[in-house]
Amino acid sequence: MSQQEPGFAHRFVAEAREHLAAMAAAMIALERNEGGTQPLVEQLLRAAHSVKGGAGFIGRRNVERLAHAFEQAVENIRDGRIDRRPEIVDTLLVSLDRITALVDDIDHSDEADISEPMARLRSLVDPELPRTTSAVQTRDDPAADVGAAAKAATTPAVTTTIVPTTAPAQDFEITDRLRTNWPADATFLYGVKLDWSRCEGEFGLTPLAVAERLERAGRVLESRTRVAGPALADGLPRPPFWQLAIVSSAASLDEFAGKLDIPSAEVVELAKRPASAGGEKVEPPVADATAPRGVPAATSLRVSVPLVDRMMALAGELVLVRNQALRSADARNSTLRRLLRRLDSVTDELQDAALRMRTQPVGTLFDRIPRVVRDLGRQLGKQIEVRIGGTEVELDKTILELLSDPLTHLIRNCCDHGIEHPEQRSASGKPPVGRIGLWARQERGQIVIEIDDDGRGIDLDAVKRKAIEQGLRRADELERMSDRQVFGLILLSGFSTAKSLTDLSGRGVGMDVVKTNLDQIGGVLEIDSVPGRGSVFTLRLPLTLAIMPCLLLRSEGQCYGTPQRDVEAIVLLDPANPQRRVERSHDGEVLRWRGRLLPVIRLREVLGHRPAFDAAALAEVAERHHRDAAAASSGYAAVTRLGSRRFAMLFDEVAGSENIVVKPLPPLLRPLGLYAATTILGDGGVALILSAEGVARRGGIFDKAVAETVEASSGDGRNAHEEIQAAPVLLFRCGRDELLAVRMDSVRRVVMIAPDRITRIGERELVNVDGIATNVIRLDHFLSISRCADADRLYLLLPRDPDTRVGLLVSEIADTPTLALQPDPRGYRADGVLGSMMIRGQVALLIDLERVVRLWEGVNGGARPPALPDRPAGRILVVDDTAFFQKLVAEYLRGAGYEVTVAGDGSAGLTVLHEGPFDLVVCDIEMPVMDGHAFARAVRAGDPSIARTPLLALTTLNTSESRGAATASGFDAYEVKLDANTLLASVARLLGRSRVHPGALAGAQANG
Amino acid sequence: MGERPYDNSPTRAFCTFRADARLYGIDVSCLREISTNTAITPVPRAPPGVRGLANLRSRIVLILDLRALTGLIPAECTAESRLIILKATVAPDVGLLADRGGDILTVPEDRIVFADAPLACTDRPDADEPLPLVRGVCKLETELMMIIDATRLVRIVARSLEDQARTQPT
Repeated sequence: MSQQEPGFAHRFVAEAREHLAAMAAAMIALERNEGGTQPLVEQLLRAAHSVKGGAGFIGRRNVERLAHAFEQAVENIRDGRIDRRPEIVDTLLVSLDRITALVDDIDHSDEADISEPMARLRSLVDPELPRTTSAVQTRDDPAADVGAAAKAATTPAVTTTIVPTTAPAQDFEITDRLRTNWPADATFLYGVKLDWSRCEGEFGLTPLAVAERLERAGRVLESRTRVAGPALADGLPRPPFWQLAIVSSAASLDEFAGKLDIPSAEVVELAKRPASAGGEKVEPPVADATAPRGVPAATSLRVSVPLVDRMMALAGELVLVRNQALRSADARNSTLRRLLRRLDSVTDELQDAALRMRTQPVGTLFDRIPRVVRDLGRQLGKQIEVRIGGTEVELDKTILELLSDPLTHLIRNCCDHGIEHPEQRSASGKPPVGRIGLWARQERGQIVIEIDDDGRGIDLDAVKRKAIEQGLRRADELERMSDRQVFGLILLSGFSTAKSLTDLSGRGVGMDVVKTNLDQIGGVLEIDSVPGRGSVFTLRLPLTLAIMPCLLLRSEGQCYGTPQRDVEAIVLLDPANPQRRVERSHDGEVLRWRGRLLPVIRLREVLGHRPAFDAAALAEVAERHHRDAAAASSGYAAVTRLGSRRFAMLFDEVAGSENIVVKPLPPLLRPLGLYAATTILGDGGVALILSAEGVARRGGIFDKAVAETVEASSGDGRNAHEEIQAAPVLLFRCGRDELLAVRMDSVRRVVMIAPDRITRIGERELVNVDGIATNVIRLDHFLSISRCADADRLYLLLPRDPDTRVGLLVSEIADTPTLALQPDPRGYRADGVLGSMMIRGQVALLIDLERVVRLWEGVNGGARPPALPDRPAGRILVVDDTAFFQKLVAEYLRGAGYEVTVAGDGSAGLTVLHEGPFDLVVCDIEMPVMDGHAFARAVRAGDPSIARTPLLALTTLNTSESRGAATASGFDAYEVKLDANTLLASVARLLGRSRVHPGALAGAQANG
Repeated sequence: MGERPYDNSPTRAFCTFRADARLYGIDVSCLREISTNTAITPVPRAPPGVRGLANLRSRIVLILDLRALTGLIPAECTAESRLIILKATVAPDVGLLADRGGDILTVPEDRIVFADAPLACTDRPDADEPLPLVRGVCKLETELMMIIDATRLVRIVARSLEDQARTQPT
């Protein structure tokens, strides 16, 4: 037994922590009598046993002794010798804390004095000893089943105890050989007696199935068949055919029988290994610690994080090698190219697998919460019930660790300030037991964690008053803010200094700490609340810190990255458009954006070698750039968010948007403050990831004079901003001439086909794809472009909707770049074309694949059952300020058979709506004059003739503006733009059902 | 380089490289590898001694510019340029860009004159503020080899980066 083995000690600590956390969770559940006593007790015993064994293995006596005492106490609970009243659970939890503390400082654990916790635990184990708690030894535990009662007879003196039961135990003989083969981790030996013929005849269980079930239930140590009846000479044997098996298992009799699941089988407990009695060691701890216990241990492995990181780096390396190989490969060698593509996808999968190695279920974090709530509830004299969901959702381990504090803080906040005292609750007509919900789910590449309570909620007006008092916002600014934005003020550091916030009960205290912690891991926190009904805190987190979606941009020829989460929009600057050009202000430069004036930072100035950006320098930069109006507004602006501030970061070119593998910044460069990290680009070059904060600081926008201001006269025009979306596109050709493009996310798959396999049937052309006859769409039938070129092999672009059974015929796949999509709809007008755009100096037509498919279906009657007649036709109002989206959405809806009217903003929409009737409104959120939230509230509060119209929010914002805000404003559904199928599905759903309760927090409160 | 070790005298091995005509050496025990991949991403706002970042088999390496550090004007990389990558024990993921690489030289210790204080050394009297990186000089048959103190080099660069940060507004 090695005393000083650091590797083992380290592994033990990591493992013991998990066990201890699970034990605490199990104790809480046990106290509440959730999910049955037996499994919980077994889980506790197993975990305690593992901790004990591990501690013994590395020679830590104190941990071993405490864990042993704990185990004994739990055995007493199991055997019904002590009950599960809160005081006893307290004692057990305190001793768990003690063990955890010892484990945390394992090297000095044996120097600690554990006599007090030992005495407490002993008092639970041995009723003769003086007790420190008021443990009462009544047997009022109804869950103690017969099996447990039988086991209570365990006498410590003998190593095995034969327990006679009703079943014929004499059928089985426990030999010495059997005892030697009895695995150390299996507590029980069971005898199973069954009749093969009955199993098969009455229950349809084949002998093989029976054997499988036996193997599954435990380890079969011995198995005999006994056929009743005379010798074979008298003919074939007749039933019953008895099977007698001796099986070892760690499970209790009930559990074992449950696992076995063979009806009619008789099970008898033959022997039990005492857990550990009278100081006599039955199992050597060495065997215990080395042999994996239970099933989970066998399927998981501990790997060091640096090793996983190395694997990630090597996967990245592989991508570079592939790129180099691709460049040097003969373009005509299609076999080689195919191999390289395969290499590419394998590399991606490898990277993905390495990433997933870093993740852990959030359950490891959530498990601790019931304990926190329980303790707080007892302290505060409140009754609080915790409900948890989505524990299986996986998250990067690093994020999980950093999330622990903010999550606990939010939960405490709910207990402390959200949930009222029972009498208050009863007085306001709520159940006395408060509820806190903790839910995790994965949503569009992010992890969302929701914490909701049904407490008193947050008083919006009080927050507003406080914000004005603290000088955080002016009254007119607050006027323009959505409720959620106002709640967001709680997170500002200035807010938390609030002292006299009686009506808010100090909700803000420490919330800025939560925010700081979340910023570190790239998380976003949104708050929704309805006074008197409760609050919802929504946390959005990246899946991992190792890979980050980044906008790649160029400044003076060099490529930089900036985390996508910091970028709210990209604006293509245009000196001719007052809404998209940089203007001089008295002390610098500004850009108009959604009715705000954003301070401008020119990246090239910030990165250039120049002294500090004081007021004079800012004026000088403005002066220099504004000698030429066109030059002043060339390139792009990234509307960058920094906490609650925004600024416009000017750069030359969009280079794409990519999920980059984040590499740390060399420590020597950290003092510069401008960069957050580095990454390796596809060509093997290194790119710096900008720190938004560093750029802002360096650019001098923390000086008050140039901070973001809300423009006094906002809403002076429509189409104030046309945002650009960077998205992966597929570049291809049909004929020789035109370069065409589709959004990658509209394509399900690209398949290669031989042209001679296309079969002509009447007007249609069909080709077999994976055994499915797929209609071939020729784009030149719909657009005036050149005919699809003849080639040895052609490609078929399969649209995302798998029901379509069509494919677009393409002669060449050119590239798959990520581009800023801003097609000019005026360049090339045709149905099925979104517009033209310049790609690498060439004009490309952006094809609307979904529209083309519908056009084809219009001509050919559809490859699927025609959907139009099924659909409830209806009148739909589309409210969107962007002409491009207005047109697009209206076309989709019209294509689906609806009657569509459009309006340019909320107030225009309201007017049109009154002229109605409309069956549904599809509404953008971010609009000038009257935004979507205000519109929805106005509809809900308005004339009864329109108040119940279903509202669907349709927006490009998915990450920053949550669905919750839309729900709170009164929207019934929320969809992201440019996803025609889900939009149509959502529309059909809304039209197909009657209105649910209009308004607030329908979803969140339903969960909570 | 016809340097032969003298019998009975303790010797030291140096990896040599050049900035302009000047020969420099760095103790081989400080050396991890020499790379010919001179694709370097510049780091705006870093002091001139920092050439940029290079990708060395998926590790990001900070490259210092020997020319700038010795008071010369930085030059474009050529096919002869070399990255002298230092051992992690000296400075993790740091390298030095030299105009040309040279041989590994083994010289008797008594040929080396160690300076009491580190020397600044440059061929150009007009160069601005060459940094004191040279620990000693070794007399070879035809020229002198400046022995660079790698640890000091990294420390100096770190300090200049911190100074740079300090002069920036906060």
